[in-house]
Amino acid sequence: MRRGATATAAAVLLLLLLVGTCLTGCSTYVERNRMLRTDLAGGDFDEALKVIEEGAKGHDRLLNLLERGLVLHYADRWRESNDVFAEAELLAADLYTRSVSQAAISLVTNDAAIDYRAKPYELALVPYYRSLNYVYLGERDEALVEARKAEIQLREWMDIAASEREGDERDPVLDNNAFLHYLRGMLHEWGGETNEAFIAYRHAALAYADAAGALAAETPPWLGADLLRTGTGLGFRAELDELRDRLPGLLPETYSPPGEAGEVVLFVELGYAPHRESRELDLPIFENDDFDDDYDAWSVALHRRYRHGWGGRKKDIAYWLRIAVPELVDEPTSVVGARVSSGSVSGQTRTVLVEDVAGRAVRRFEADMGSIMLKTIARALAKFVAKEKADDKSKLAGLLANLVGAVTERADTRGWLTLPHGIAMARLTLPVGVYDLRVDLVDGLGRSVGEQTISPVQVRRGDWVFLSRRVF
Amino acid sequence: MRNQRSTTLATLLALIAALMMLGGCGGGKAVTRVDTDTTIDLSGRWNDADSRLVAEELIAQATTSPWVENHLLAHGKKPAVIVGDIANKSSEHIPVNPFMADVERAFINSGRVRMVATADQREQLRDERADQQQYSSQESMAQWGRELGADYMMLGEVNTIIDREEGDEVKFYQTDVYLIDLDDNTKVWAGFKKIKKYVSRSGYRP
Repeated sequence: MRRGATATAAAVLLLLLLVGTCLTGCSTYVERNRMLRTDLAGGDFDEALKVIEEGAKGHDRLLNLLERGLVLHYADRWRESNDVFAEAELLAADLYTRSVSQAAISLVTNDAAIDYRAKPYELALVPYYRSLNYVYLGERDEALVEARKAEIQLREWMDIAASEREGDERDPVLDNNAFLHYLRGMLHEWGGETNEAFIAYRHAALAYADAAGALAAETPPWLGADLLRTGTGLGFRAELDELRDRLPGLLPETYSPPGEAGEVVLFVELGYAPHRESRELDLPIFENDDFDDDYDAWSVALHRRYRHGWGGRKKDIAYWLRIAVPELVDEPTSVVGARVSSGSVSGQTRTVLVEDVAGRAVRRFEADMGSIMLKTIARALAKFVAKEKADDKSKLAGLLANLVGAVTERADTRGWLTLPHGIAMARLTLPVGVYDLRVDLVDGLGRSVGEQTISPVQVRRGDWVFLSRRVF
Repeated sequence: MRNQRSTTLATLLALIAALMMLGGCGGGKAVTRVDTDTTIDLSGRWNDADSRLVAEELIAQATTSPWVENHLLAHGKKPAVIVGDIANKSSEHIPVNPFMADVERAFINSGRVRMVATADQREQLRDERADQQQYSSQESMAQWGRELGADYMMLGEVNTIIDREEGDEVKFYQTDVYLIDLDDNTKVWAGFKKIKKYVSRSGYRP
């Protein structure tokens, strides 16, 4: 009797401890970082870094590093940004190893108890930002390292995506990333690695074609000329003919050899990527809910309770059922692209959406939803069983078990919040000289919604200039 | 029976609580000084041990090769060498300066070779020399036009081949360094070092 009482007291104490632990840390990732996007959009980088620091939690370490790396990039602290991104990449590699104990804890708490392993579409943008950092630091060789790393990572993600999916059907949105191929193609060509550039351009062309219709991004109009230029330079006639067959209309009719001009590439990063919010469903199970195994009756009763509430019912609550599932919130961007002008006769163009981050996020979310629901149901059952077991001990223990279960129920809303909704790109081939680039930002109806000037832009013969701007 | 159940429940909760606590606790920090020749592999990426191995191998190959003697026979003076670009063509951010500094130091200390300052160092030296023309005494100032022209330039590159599957990874690094005659572009010496690593990651941990 004495041993039983001691055990009950210990159980109650531990339950209280759990409640306390959870109450202090049960806010979702999005809730903790609510101000991050506002600070970044306002250019208040120090405040944004402070928000990341304050919201940092053990299992979100990778996300904290990704957010920090990106904010440092926008703050023009490129060296620090690369250091942080390098740490993130190392951690992402280590997180290949899953924690069994974290998985067990998540079954009685929530998925935030598991270390966040970034999604491939998120990690795909790390080489993009790191290579831009190296470009701005004037370290071309290091930017080329990022291009090579990207190729290896793309292969790895394709393998992982294929192994995680049932069946043999490929998903061009989740398995590949045309933009990353195109970026590394341009970087290789800039670095004089023409063979690698051609291969990357070819991968990009095929990947854009594969994802056509599934993503809003379109094949960059410069890609065909890039392929023809590099392929002709290398004498790859058979490869070019094969591309003409597979992708009719991609390659231009006439070949323009590299001339005296230089290339200017401008990336315009638009708005914010979709984010996940936690949606909770609270339903009381009353003492006199006695439907036994009549699942239809349970469904009708609970659905009615969910739709119309349960106010006014003077009944004892037997169990408080809380289920939390994530919901993807996709807010359209006010800026959808830009008209870019260099002031010269030929130096005018429009941006094209080359990377649809939002589209990938939506597809990833849809693909994840099945397993999320399965885990949510398993967790709800585990929590109910724990409450039933505690009920056998005492009503108080049962009540506390129910309380812990309900309080800890949160959807996993984690995701890289500072990522853009999409990346638009403009490319200008300009004669040698110094230019002021005028970037006229436009909304979905083509109306001008703002203007930026990038100057001075020095164009050298045969050289490439890479620029980027983030707009909200 | 009742006692047993409550004890089981308490144990289960204690386990969960302990796991939660462990999950949120850092392990503290410990710093231990180790010998610089000790090999410590953490991430599997290029590290100080790789740099040391490359330097040792290149120095061994360079000092046993007859290129210095050949130069002495042909020109009657020690060869002058300058270190050029060691291109990183790998998929890792590899600092090439540490192992090239080791090679350069070995050349200098051997007394058989004269090393010329690198392009960056020469710029600094020329700035200083220009400064001396204005501020130093006539007797002590360095003279223009007396720089030693190198006979050979050391050039090279680092390449990697990476193969990955699930948690396993094979990394192959190859460092190639050449001494090239600045007069006729002939390669008088070629050194290399190959390093292969196998990195394994398990799918699960406790």
